[in-house]
Amino acid sequence: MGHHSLQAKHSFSNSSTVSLPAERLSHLVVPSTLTANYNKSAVSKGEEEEESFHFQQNEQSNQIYSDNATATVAAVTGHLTIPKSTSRQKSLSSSFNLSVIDLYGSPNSQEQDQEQGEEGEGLSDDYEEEEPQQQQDRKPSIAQPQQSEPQINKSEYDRYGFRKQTRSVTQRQYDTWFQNKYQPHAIRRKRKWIQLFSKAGLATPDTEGLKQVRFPVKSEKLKRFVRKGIPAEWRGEAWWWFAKGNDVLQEGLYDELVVRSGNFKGKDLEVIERDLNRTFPDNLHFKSQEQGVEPEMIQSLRRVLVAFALYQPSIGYCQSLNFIVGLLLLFMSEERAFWMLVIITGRLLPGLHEMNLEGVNVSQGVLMLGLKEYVPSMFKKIMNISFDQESLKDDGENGDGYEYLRRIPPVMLTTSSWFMSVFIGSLPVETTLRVWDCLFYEDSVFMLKISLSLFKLIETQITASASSAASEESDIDEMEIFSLIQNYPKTLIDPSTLFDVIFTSRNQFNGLSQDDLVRCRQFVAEKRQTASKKNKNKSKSGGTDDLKVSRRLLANEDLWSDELYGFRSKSGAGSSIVRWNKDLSERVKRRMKR
Amino acid sequence: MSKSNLSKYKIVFLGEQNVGKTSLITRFMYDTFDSTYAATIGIDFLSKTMYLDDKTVRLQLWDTAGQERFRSLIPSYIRDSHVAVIVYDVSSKKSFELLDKWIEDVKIERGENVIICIVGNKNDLTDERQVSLQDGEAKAKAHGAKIFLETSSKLGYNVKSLFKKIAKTLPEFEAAGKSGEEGASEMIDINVENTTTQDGQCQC
Repeated sequence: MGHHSLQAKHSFSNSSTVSLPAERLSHLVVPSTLTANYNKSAVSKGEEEEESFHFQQNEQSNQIYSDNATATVAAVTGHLTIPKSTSRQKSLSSSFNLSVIDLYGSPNSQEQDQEQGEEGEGLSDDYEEEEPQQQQDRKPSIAQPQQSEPQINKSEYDRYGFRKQTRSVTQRQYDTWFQNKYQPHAIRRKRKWIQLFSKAGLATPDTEGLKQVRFPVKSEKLKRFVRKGIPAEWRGEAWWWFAKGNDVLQEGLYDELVVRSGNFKGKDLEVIERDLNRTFPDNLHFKSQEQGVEPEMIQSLRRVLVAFALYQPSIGYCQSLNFIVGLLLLFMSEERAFWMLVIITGRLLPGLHEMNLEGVNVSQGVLMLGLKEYVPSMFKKIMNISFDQESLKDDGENGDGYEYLRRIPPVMLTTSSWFMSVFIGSLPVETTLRVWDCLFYEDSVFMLKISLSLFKLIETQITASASSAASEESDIDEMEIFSLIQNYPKTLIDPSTLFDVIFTSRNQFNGLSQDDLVRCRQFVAEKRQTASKKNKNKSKSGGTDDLKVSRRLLANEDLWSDELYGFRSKSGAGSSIVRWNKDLSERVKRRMKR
Repeated sequence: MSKSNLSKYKIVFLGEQNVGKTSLITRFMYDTFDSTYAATIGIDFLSKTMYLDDKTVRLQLWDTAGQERFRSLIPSYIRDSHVAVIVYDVSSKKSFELLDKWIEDVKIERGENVIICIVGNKNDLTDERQVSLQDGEAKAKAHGAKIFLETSSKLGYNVKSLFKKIAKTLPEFEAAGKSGEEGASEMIDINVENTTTQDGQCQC
């Protein structure tokens, strides 16, 4: 029975779309009748058979699926970005044709009445926390007898195929949180998104299959929607849309690169090869299910990474790109993942993966400035453990008080990986995905905001532990700060812990704009540039490359202007560039009002 | 809070990508092994309290990314480390040849003020071995490494003894180390207490 309806569904949806194997889907979309059918039959066979049944099922549907997909895609190529070579273009993307009913229970008309008031027309910047009261009110309508209850995913793996349990989170913690809090949240959000689309007169992504997906125009309301999370099955489309994938896409180039990479013999090749199996070893899709058979995901990962190394020789391959591409591939086709990588490494995280990693130093310098301004107690702690006062005094040569931008404190190597891997591995999966949602919508300034939020939370942790130990704050040593910065974020399974910080208006850094970030980057790049100019005479190593990248970072933007932004006219060392940026934001806001 | 009085020692793990730095540390910390670990990006930090001969020290283990370009970020870690463990993979000649580079990095930062350990990991891969034990020993001697060992994180072979040897080079235990020179059998039993970093605070 279960087999039957599952396959019927598949072939049906395949007639209009390129879709994903049932295996991937069942993890992504737990609360569905699809999984319900599967679960029922699995349960009747007994718990233990669940997995094997599952994979068997998967093979079969996979077969059917790929045949259909090939035919379908052949018919529609031309007006879509999905190329002909379907074997490597499958994605877990939004195009899969699942109705809302399947996903989250019936979208009753009555929902509309109830929901309307809540989101309202309010354009306030404030993050509206989900109110428990309202949740309860709504419960009865969700639990209508004719509706299917969301299914509970009891497996070891989450809906993306990642192992729920990590060093920092137990499976029990995960399940409790997901079932009681996050799943209801996701269901609620999805309904609201559907309403949003319908109000905007747009079709929701998953009912239209291969048609060009459109999202509503950017607005405060949409921003708030994104901040509360994009429905998982639309993420691929949404990321592509918000990051303006179509602007960088060069049709056919990816396929061409894949062909050319057959002859590519760069030394990156070996480095890539060694990292393939070290990319999400805890994720089902990246794990070999059968001895000696390489998972498709790994093959896709290889193709994208090699094609990128070929396309962007100034970066080639840098460890951490494997994770970025790996995560992208869970949500979109290879081709799109490739172009998203181009966007991420070029526009969103400039210089961070270049040969000399100078962009890492710049990003960490910016973060230091942000801390100095917005989380000063953490800034002080980091300074205390990183430099002895003497060495800061003979800052001498430059004497501007910005030595910490030239010699980035060691602790910041931990936060470097936040940026390099875009929080993969530093935050739990669902939380990481929420960060990605916002990153593509709000641009790279969001990386800074999230980092500062994390430091706010860490600051609270330090204060708590200091008072509980009844010891002086100064007792906290480098090791403890280091481990808090490294380990605390890994415990944040519930995204709202983090997002509540960033979306409360109390935190002034919430008002930072992308322009602020760009200027801050330039400032740091310039400070570092003066240093490397001087070093260039001293040592041959590194200096010139650093210089080159710093220059490129500077050249990227023509916004730099002494007159308008007055860095240098400000009275030297004491003045904080970020504070100064706030003034600017105000000015811009005033101008906008006029 | 006695912990603040504990002596702390920084031990930095260096070496090419995929030689098993993370797996060595994981074996030591948790006594577990997985055939694959996620690649380390930037740096990972772990700490562990070690009891030996009535004395206690806190070890800070710094696990680093192996890809060449990350070397530009690492010097600041080497700067105040007491011990540098440089790891190669006995089944990869290349990882062995590149040891020199890492040792050079360490010497540039630390001169002679650092204990260098050379470790040939994955010695369970007997069929794939490309570097002999003798070659390893010779290289260790040539570079003046205080400790040389072949290990297998997979089998847990020599991992504990690596850390015992490291401990014995620390000022706290130097005396013990001298009396029991090279005598693994005379080794004082070591108790390693696991202090995960977060609840490390309340370890009084």
